Amino acid sequence: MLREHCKPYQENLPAYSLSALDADELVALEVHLQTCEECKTELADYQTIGTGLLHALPPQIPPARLRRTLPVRLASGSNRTVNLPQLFKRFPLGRFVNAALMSILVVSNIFAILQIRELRQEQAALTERLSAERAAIGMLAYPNTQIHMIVPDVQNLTGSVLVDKDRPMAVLLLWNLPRLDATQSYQIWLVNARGDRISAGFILPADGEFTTALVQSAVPLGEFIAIGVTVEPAGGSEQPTGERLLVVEL
Amino acid sequence: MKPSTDSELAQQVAARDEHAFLALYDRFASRVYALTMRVLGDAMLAEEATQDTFLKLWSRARQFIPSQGELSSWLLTIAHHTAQDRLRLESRRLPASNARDPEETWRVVTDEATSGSEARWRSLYFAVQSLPLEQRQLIDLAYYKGMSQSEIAEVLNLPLGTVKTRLRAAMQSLRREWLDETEK
Repeated sequence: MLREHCKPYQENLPAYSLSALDADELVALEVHLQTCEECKTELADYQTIGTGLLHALPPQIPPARLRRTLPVRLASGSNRTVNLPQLFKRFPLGRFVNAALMSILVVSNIFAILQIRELRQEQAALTERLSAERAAIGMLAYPNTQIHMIVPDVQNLTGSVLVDKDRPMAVLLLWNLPRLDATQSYQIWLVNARGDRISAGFILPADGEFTTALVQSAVPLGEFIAIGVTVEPAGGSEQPTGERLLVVEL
Repeated sequence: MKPSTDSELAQQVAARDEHAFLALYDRFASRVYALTMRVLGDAMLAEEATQDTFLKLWSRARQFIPSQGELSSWLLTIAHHTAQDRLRLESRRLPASNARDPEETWRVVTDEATSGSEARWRSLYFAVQSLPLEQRQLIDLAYYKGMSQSEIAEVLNLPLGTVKTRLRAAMQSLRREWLDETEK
């Protein structure tokens, strides 16, 4: 016969044996169990039922692949099989489609950004060329403009330089300028009486036979004795280092 | 040749014997899978939990102490915890197994193939099945799905007191109908 004060604990024994007792009642029951042999005995019965419930389910044969893959898992030491059906279960088809669409969108955006950058570079080159051609037209119309024929160091290259010695600019007009690869550029130099070479801009070869380039200086061109062009690494050099393309004495 | 006992096979597994491991798998896989299936209610998850259970057997076989109980109880306890951990990981409460009618499976298990302990477990299964539906449901949610009484009350929209009373009545009934009967 259980003692009267056991009753509230006794009522919780079945739930405790199934681990279904809420936390607030759990501690009190465990304290009581330390001193009550009757409740411990009754709990043992319920725990036997709990253990029995582990066994009481009708057997179900697992898929044969599980037995085949287990030895492989033992060898690899892995605790997890990720098979395709399970992967699809965790990440349903809709998520795969969304992920694929997102990937396509990202790639498209990167491609568009690269295209825009390329277009901007082409636009800058065209603007520079247009500016040089307008300057050439303006100088041709100016009465003090002198025209100097170039002395090319490469075959087929011809052209001239339009110079006003009172102005800090000149225009190079070139025919049959060979194209360079992306690692090189044509760099313009102004040469003074002391032999100093001062960078005066770059030439961007045009797609056609005819190229116009602006020669820019901080001081009037009258202070220089020659204009030269050399092939330099892309981005230019402090001083001429590469093959000379042409030279024009002013 | 007399077949090895469960304990002997467990010792061989502890010594890294794969043949012993597969022999234990053949003995207990259907029970482990049935239990994980009941807890998780999903064939793929149950398959993974079954695999994890046997991998734990492989890595923890040394911890099994025969004097403290049967290997089947030890292994099924591991399976129960593994499946419930997985259930919590999935953060969802899956419905009870709907793979097939469990009673149908019992019908194909012949008496000849049923050992004494299996007959005992079988009688517990039928004792549970004979409980009123509202009590059986509470056993399922509490034991197999790992819910507390207050969680069950919330899920079933029942007063907590009703859940406590029904669960207690179910366990008392099993104690009376199954435990007392099998101990006679």
